[in-house]
Amino acid sequence: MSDSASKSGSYPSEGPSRVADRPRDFLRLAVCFIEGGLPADDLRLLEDYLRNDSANRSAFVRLCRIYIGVVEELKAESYLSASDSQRALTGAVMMPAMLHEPAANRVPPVGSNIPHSDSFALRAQADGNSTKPQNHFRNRIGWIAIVATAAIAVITALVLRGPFTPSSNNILLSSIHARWASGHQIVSGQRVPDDGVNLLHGLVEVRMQSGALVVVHGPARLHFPSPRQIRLAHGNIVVRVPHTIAGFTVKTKSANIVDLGTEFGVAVTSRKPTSAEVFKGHVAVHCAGAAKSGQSLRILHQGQAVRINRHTIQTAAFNPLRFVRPAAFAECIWAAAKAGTSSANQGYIRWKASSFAISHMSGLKCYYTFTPDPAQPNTLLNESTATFGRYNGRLGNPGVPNSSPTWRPGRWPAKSALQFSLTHHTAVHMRVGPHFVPRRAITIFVWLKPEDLAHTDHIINQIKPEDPRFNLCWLGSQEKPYTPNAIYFDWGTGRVISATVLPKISEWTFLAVTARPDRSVRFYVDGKLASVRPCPPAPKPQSMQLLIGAPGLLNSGTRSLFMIGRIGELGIFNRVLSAPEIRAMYRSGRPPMSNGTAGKQ
Amino acid sequence: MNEEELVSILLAERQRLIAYLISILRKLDQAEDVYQEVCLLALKKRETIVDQQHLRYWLRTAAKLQAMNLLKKMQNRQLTLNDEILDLLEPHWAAHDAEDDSVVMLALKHCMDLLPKAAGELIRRHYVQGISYAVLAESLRRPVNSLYVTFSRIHAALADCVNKRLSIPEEGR
Repeated sequence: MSDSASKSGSYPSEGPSRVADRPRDFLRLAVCFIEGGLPADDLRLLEDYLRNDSANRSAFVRLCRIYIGVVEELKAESYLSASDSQRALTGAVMMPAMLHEPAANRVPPVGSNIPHSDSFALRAQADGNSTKPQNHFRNRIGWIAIVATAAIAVITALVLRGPFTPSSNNILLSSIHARWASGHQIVSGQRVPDDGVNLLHGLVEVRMQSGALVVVHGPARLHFPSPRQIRLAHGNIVVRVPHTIAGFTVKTKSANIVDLGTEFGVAVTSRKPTSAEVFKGHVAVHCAGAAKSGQSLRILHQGQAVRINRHTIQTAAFNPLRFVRPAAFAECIWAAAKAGTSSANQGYIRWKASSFAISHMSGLKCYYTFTPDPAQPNTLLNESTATFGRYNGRLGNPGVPNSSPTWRPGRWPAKSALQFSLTHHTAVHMRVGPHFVPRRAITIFVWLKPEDLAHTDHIINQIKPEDPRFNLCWLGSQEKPYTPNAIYFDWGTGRVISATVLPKISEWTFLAVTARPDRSVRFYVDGKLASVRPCPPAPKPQSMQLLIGAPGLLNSGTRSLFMIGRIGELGIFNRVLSAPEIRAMYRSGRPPMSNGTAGKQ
Repeated sequence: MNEEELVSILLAERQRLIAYLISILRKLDQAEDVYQEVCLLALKKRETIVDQQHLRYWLRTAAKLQAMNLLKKMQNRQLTLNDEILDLLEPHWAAHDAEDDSVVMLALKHCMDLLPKAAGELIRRHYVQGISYAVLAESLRRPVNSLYVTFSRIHAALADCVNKRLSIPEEGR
């Protein structure tokens, strides 16, 4: 103990006020009490100690705080060391700091003042040595006896108890194509065991004892230490917490996400920061390792997202497509029933959840999933929740035979698409008002499967007597006079053509175009940025008639420009989607490759 | 007090408040549950809270009431400290209000790094792996009571180490 410390401090560490100098029995009783193990008789003794001496009360308060600190610090440390090499990193940081500390300020090793008998006992245990001679033979027999007794007791308990019944009250409501880690199989309606969920693949929905609803998207590993807490080791989860529960917390290795009455998603992947997004309400995100950085807390509101490292919280692009929300889960159950267990439908359920999320995204002007409605077989339904009931398309031209595109299987057998034909000049017709085409910013995305790569396919076009204004085309390899194997986009004031994009042969392709006046037009192919071009000024509003799968001029000269192939999904936003959003859209909607895999990244 | 400021303080006060609740409830999981209820209450009543000092006092009062209600519900009052003792402890809790939790945690982390290896291993086995005192005592071939004494000494040593580090000026730590 240095003199300077004892002089300057408000906590005298020498003399009778030292916690370690309190009566030994008082300290034992205090620690027993704090850990919840003090019997009623001893409680009265502890009360006497506390009643009679103010220093004991002060020591008791400090011990309570030390207990919480020790427990939380050790648990945080064990979480870190279980998942990555953070522990080694911490050691590397701490050691030099300790070495460079002035000798006068250095605190002697804690525990060095533990009476010799106890310290000795601890060291002997850690080193595996003892000064007393050991009778190894007797020890071995003792251990065998203990193990045998324990085994008999366990077997007897299992036989008497019958089927395993875990103690938690968290129920697995339903699962879709769930594949569990060995020994972690749970069926719908069964309680989730205390060691939680270890899901290799698929989707499951868990109702927690507290009423919170959790959708887990495999692969994922998590457990439920209390009715209001989830510890997520890895995987994606979405939690919907009723308003009656406060402070529901999801803990990960780097963050605590505290609910404030809401629905939110958390994603943990190895070697990447924890991600958190808020779908409804708001949450408090607490960064575990940023105690002094000033960035330890962030309140997130609806539509916001962050990435949390060990020490910082960074704003991230809101990307709801990464998660399966409880409302989408119901859609997925319906889709699973339709798709069955066929491997050809792999990915269809995930797309269904993603499609549900897209239909709720902000700024969505129209969204066509190309799912036929048995009640209106000749209608292409707009499924955007914001504009539902408007902007529906009509298949074919009334009075013109065979002008309707036909329903065919899409990216999966369970999903449908429209087959367009050059022979029959098929198209979907739509009449829209002056505000349908956004003017401040726009994103168009489409899943299409061109069947003739030499041929130019018109995807969506405005009918206008002379000059098509709103126009998106795939330019074939025989295209003249424009760039072959490129994307043509006209927003109303002039054409913009992408750089050459490598064609694919008869595969589903995801095209996306984003544009903002006086900035840039960005062309994405299969989720990757393919080309950037300057953007012309914004168009003027006008009512228009649109065609899907046909050129804007329906005269004989343009008949060869009708689409040959299929379209499986199409949407228009009145904002510029970010690159991660477009990438997520592609990933969640990509079909299986011909070899049965989920397709390339 | 606006919501963001309030939540920030609630989270900063978390450890202190849970420690306070432990002194009443004796169980960590119950203390965490009550803390969450107090958070909700604070958010509801944030209009009536004047400043940080007021909030701290309010939080302890609300936490105590909620904890007492829980004990009443669970009919578990006989195993907790009586009201007189809890009142006597109040000024000592108030004396801790000036401490910054993050600074206390840094000090504690430093002190834990200084623990002898065997002591560190012992508390890890008990607090992280959840091995009970009885099992630990059996594996060490020691009476359970002596293990309680060892733990109380480790805690006391950590408490003194933290007190000492908090008494050293910032630049000397």
